[in-house]
Formats: sequence, C-alpha cells, structure tokens
Amino acid sequence: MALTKTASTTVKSKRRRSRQPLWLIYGFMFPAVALALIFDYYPAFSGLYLSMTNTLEVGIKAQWVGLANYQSLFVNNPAFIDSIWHMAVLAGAAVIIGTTVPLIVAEMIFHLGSNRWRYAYRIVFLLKMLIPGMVIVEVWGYILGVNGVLDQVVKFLGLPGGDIAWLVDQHTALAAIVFIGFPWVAGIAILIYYAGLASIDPEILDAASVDGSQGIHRVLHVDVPLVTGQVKLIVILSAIGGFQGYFAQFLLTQGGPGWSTQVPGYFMYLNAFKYGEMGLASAIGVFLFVIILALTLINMKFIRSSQDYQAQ
Amino acid sequence: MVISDTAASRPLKVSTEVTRSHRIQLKWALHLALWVLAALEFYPMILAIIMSLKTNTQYYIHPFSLTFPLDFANYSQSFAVIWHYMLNSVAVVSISLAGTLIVSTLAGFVIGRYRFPGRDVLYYMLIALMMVPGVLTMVPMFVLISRFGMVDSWWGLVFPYVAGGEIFSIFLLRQFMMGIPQELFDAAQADGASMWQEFWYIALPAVRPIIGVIAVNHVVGWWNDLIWPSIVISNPKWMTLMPGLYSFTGQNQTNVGPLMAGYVIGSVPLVLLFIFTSRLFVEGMNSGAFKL
Repeated sequence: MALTKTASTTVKSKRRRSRQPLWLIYGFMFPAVALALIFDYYPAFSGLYLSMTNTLEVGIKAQWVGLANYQSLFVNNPAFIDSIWHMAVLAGAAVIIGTTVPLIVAEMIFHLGSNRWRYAYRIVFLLKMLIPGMVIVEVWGYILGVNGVLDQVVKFLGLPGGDIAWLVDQHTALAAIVFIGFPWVAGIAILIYYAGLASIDPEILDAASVDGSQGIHRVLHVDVPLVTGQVKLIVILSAIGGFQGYFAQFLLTQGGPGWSTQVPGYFMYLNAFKYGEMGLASAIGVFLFVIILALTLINMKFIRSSQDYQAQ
Repeated sequence: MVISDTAASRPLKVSTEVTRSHRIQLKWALHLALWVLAALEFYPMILAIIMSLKTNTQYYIHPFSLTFPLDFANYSQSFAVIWHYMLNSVAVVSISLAGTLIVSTLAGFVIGRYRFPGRDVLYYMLIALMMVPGVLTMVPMFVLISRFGMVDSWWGLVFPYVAGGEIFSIFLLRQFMMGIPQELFDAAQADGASMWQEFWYIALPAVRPIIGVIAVNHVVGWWNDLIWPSIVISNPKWMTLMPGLYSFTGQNQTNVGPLMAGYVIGSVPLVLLFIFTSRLFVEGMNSGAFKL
C-alpha cells in the first residue's frame, strides 16, 4: 500500500482533470462497484447478521437470537474448542514448515551457479501448484492408507507401525494431515524467498566472502537476517492459510476419526450444508474472519518489506 | 553466480584449486538434493500415473508399482465421463474470466487515469475487500445465490468468481494504468479520440502483460476450485471438473485405475497452459504474494 501512495502522488500532477462527461466515468466504474456491493459487501454483512439468527436453511424463517450462537460455540461446546486446538496445531505446523523448508530450498537453488538451472528449478517446483489440490490430496489418501505407500516404506525400513492406517487412527490422523504434501517444497513461498535472496546486494555477499563467511555460516548470519521481511510475510500467509483450510478434512477424514481432525472451517461447512444450521455456521465464519483480519492487519505492516521482491 | 564467480576470480584466494573442486562437489550435491526433493514432491502425480495404468487385478496384487501390460483403456473409460465436466469448466472459467477482465479493466482505467468525485472512496471501498476471507462469505453467499435462483446454474459460480476476482485485478490494473505515459493520451486527444478509443487503443494494449498475469492466475484458481462449486451445483449436467471428479471418486472407490486416469486427465489442461505461459505465471505468482 505504501508503494501505491507514493506512486499516486507522483502521477497525480500529470493526471489531467477529466474533460469526459462524469456519467461516462461512473458508467465505467458501475459494473465493478455493483458486483462488489451485491456479491462481496452484502454477503459479508449478511454473514454477521445471520450469525445472530437461528437460521436453519435457506428459505426457512428465522428469529434474532443475539449472541446465542456464539454462546453455544464457545461456552456450551467443548468439542468446538477442541477443533480450535486442532486448527492451531495445523496452522502452527504450516507456519513452521512454510518458513523453513522453502527457505532452505530457495538457498539451495540460489547457490547453484547458472541462472538457467536456477530458473529451471523454480519452474519445476512451481509446476506442482498447477496440479489440482483435490488430486494431490486424494492420492495422499492412498499413500497414507492402510498398507499404503507409507506403511510399505515403514515395513521396508523395519520400523514399527507398518500396519497403521494413518488417517483412520485417531492418534495419528492429525499428524498425517500435516504430513500431506511432504516434502512441502512447492508453492509460492519458494519464489518469495528466492526473490528475497536475489535482491540482496551482491556487494554484501562479496564482502561476506572476503570476510571468509561461506556456506552454512553465510546462510545463517548474512542471508537469513536479510530476508526477515519475507519470513514474516510467509508466517502470516501460512497462518491465514492454516486457519481457513479444510481440504484434507473435506476429502479424506470428514473431521474424524471421532473428532480428532475437526477444524472450525470444516465444522462450519458441515453445519451450513449438512446439518442445516446456517446461523451457527455463520457464527463460525465470523469467528474465523476476526482471527484472519487480525493477521491481515499485521500483514499490512509487513507489506512494505514484501515490496522488495515485488520489484524483481 | 554472484558468489561463485566473483569469489573464484578473486586473487585473495590462495588455494584456488582446492576450493574450486570443493565448489564443484557442492554444486553436484545441491543438484542431487534438488532432484530428490523434486521427485518426492511429484511422487503423488507419479503414483497417480502408475495406478492409472492398472487393471483391477493388477492393482490388488501390486497396488503401487509399475505393472505390465500397461492398461490404457482406463483413460478412454474415464474420458468418456469426464470430458463433459471439462467442457463445463472451460465454459465457466471462460465466462468468469471475460467478466472479470471487462469489469476490472474498465474500473482500473478510470481509477488510474481520471479524477472524479468519489474516486478514492470507491477505490478503497473495492480494495478493502481484500481483507475479507472466503470463510466469512461462503455461507451468506450461498443464501444470496439461492435467493437469486442461481443454485444449480453456472451463474452461481460466475458471479461470485467475478466479484471475488475483480478486486485484486483492479488493484493491479490501476497501478499499471497509472504507469502509462500521459503523452500517449495527449496525442490521442489531439486527434479527437473518445474515451472509449483511449481505453481500447491505448490503455488496453499498454497493460496487456498484466492482463495475462491476471488471467493465468484466475484460470488456475477457478479450474481447481472444488468446495464452492460442489455446494452450488449438484446436477451432473452443469457440474464443473473438480466436483465432477469428486463425484467420480465416489462412484469408483473400487475402480482405482479409471479413477486415477480421471485425475491425470483433469490435471493435464493446466500443465499444457503452463507450458505456454510459464513466464506470465511466475510473474503472477510473485505479485499474487500480495493476496491476503
């Protein structure tokens, strides 16, 4: 946002006062604004409203119930509190994985000599993002299933646990969801880190190598401090993704076994579209919105640092 | 490149021979590690392809290893079901993309190039929506779609897609519209160009690269969308690809070969798209990092 402001002040002087009729200008704006009001603003506010009604399904008349839905979630529903913990675990894992693995791989790619290889590897890992998430998660269901690929690997290595259905055992199901996507390399994070590394002033790296700082030492003491902006951004993005996501629950576990992988997002989906509790579902949506909004506002503070790689 | 070349050419290094061979070893190790990581990363796709080439008998005996003869019949069997969903997805994505681009280039043009009362209010009103996550709007959006009678129709996908997609597009387009040199517009005005002509002949060609970036990103997101379309559309006649594959999954739990073949077929179009637009895609991913 910082960039936008500076840009608009420099351009403003050049921008002429319009000699076009105002109705035509507003005509250009109209479709975008109308769509935003009807399909973005209205649902957002009606979500707040719905969360304070006892709406069951579309078309059934409902009454205002105040904060009763919130009360039934946070006061009367220990299971919901459990689901928040699961969400926190999954989001925490997403943050840890998202900040470390892509940074390590971005360093590895950056340390390669040739620019062609650097580009090639980035493209390869990016390619994974095109594969439908549904396909990947479904195939992981086979990898993690009983006698699945993981079990066979475990057996081959002679380790215990070669007969576990990782997603069906309530002790392992949540961890198994974290494991989906191993080795977690692909994704936007790798590009962000790479761009961060590439924007480090070569003179700094030169100076570091003159001082004899090389390899791991250089990575830890020169590179990492210089990409903290990117690290912060990834922390926030991973957390937001972790709080919203319920793809694995939707496709593989349905929140089970028992309640062991239930998260608020999927609980919301179930309430709205399976249990006929739209009011309650909206309350969960508002709760997630508040958490994500808080993270988003923190994120705004870091957008300036994310501009650094934007220039690449 | 930076580190190795500059360091190697530096006369300070005494034992150049040793460090050079050391560096070459390191490079090979890095390549090896990256290849292993890439193989693991793509293993689910490799596994899907291996499993897609099995008959049921082959699957029950050797579920995860390559078995011969390869059974390509699975592909024709799946394609017969899936092509219809793919066409629906092509239609929905095309309509949504056309809508998003029309709406957001028009708005981005006037916000970026003109001064008029309420411009900044409208602009911030639009981009403030970047802070509203999908989880908040999903349930009320469905209520709205139902009121409009858009359940079980493509419009129930297209309108939310366009309304969601226009926001970030306008944000990007406005910046690029502002970057066009004023001289181009002055010249056009001297020749008596109308606002439409300025938009069509000057602004649009100038922002074509960012339009490509926006388009590629939206296409990927919409093509791979599963949960929203599976809520909105239950009639197989109108179903898009991901919910189609999802119901195909339900019908083929014991038919793993055709199921995996369906997954592979569904993944191919975007890979083809990527091959033609990889540079746009990389740029788009970089700017997409702004997305909240």
